[in-house]
Amino acid sequence: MVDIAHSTAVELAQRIQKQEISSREVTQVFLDRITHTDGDIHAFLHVNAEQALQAADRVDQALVNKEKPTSPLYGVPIALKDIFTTVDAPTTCGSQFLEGWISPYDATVTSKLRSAGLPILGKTNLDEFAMGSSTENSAFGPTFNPWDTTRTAGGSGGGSAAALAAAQAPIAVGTDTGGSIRQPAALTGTVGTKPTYGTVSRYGLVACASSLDQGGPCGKTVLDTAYLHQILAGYDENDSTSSNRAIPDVVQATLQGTQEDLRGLKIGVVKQLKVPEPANDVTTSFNESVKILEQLGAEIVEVSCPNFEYAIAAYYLILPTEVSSNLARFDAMRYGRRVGDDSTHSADQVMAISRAAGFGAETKRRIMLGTFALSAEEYTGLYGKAAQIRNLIRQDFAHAFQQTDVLISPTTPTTAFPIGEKVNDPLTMYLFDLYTIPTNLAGNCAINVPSGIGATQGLPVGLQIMAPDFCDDRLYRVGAAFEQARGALSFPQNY
Amino acid sequence: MADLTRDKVAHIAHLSRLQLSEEEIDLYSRQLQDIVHYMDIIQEVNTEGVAAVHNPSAMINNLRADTVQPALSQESVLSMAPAQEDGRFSVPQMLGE
Repeated sequence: MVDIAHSTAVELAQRIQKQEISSREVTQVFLDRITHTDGDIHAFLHVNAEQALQAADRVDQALVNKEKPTSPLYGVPIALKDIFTTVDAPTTCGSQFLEGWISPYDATVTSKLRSAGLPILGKTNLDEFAMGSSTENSAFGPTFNPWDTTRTAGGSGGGSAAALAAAQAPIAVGTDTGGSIRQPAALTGTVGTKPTYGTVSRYGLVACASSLDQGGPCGKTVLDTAYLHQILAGYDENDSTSSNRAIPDVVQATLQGTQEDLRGLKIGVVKQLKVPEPANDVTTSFNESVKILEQLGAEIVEVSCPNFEYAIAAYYLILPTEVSSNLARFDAMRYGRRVGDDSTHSADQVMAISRAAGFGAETKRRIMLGTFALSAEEYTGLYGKAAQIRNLIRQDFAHAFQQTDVLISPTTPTTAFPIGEKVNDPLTMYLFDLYTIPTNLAGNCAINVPSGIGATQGLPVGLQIMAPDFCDDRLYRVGAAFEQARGALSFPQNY
Repeated sequence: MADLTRDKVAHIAHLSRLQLSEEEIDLYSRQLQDIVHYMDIIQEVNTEGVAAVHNPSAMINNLRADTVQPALSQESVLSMAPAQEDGRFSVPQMLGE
């Protein structure tokens, strides 16, 4: 039998609900794993041991009392990206500005995890305010990739993905604004979904870009991720962008994917989301993935989405504008680290000093870029134009989905890159997001499913599957079929 | 196209309440100029007659009824205040020099 730390969430849930093992025992195993391995990985900013064990005890007691489990993953512990508010642990968003800040309220996502009986192990590391592609922008140090600790685990949600790969948690929650769930999943050999915009509540998700942010599930398998997706998704009256539309049955779709082949399905390869050239491990793995999907009976067609060439430019104009507005609340008047309040500085000056002291370089760059793009002289030509291009990208997707059921692409242009390689060159870092960004602009859904371990570098590669909004089930059906045909993947050596 | 001079960067830093050193303004100016220069690519796109999209959902002004509902307690809201006095946030002087 597989040991607890390397079991799937579904396996653990079944054993806990049969009372073969206790939620406390399982939670303790992962807490011990974190203690033993996080010195090397740095996936966690805060470990909530006592509260997690108390939550586990409540589950165990309820099962003894023959109460009905409140979710299919009842009792399985989980890691939570440190951008969701929690009343019993700090929420730092990876920023010195919020170091030690404890929110007065739980995010809706946090409440859902508690109601579902998932003990929260702790808060995971991220690029500051979810802005970055390597977790190197965290004020508290980067997260290291369990596959090679000289390399990043990706970003902004490197902590959640690394925790899964290092067997520190069986499931995790992340957020995806431009790829921040999918890209770390690809670089760590794990599964991660950006759900349709509006299906996972943003109440208590500290806002980066309000029209792009979306919380989502992370797991080691497509089925684990599907069960978590179901727990997280749903209408929330506290989020004014929350959708009333029905959430598709992603668990049923996953099971269908393992039981049936993909005959009858049309899968599009987007001309503008080309495989990397010159060919690298990502190229090889993607080409192999296409063959696997063809063997499953899917018809592969090429589609053209011409405006995708402008997605990075549009995104890095839209996102900073929203960031400049959303981060204005961090003025150190009501919460956050106040600096320079010594009776010689006015409130304006204290705000400026506190923000300069509390924010990292990338955060400052994006605030300034956004302020610039919204200025009177530049608005039409920069933000306004980008918002029009956003519409064209949405239309490109709509046209592509008239001919196909899902689209596929690599998730990243390379495997995990070395720490320090891109962090001082912002534009190079931005270009890493080329495959993931279009989906966020359109509000659609997409998933990363590991496609293999690269032959030359021995590092994970991911396959991205994209679907129209409110068709998240298609991601899981195709993802599960692909995962099964691909075969088992190992954990990194030493983990 | 868009021109992001060092002076503009300094002004923008002031507008966004970021007190930067001269060295930081130099560094960020260079980096932001590179980024803005990359953005020139959007001018290639013909967007005539294309409506702007600001949010993927079709919703506009999603409001609730204006009824009083339970909210956070004063104590919890003040709990993380950098400084407080008599149940209020204590802040540096707002108005005047």
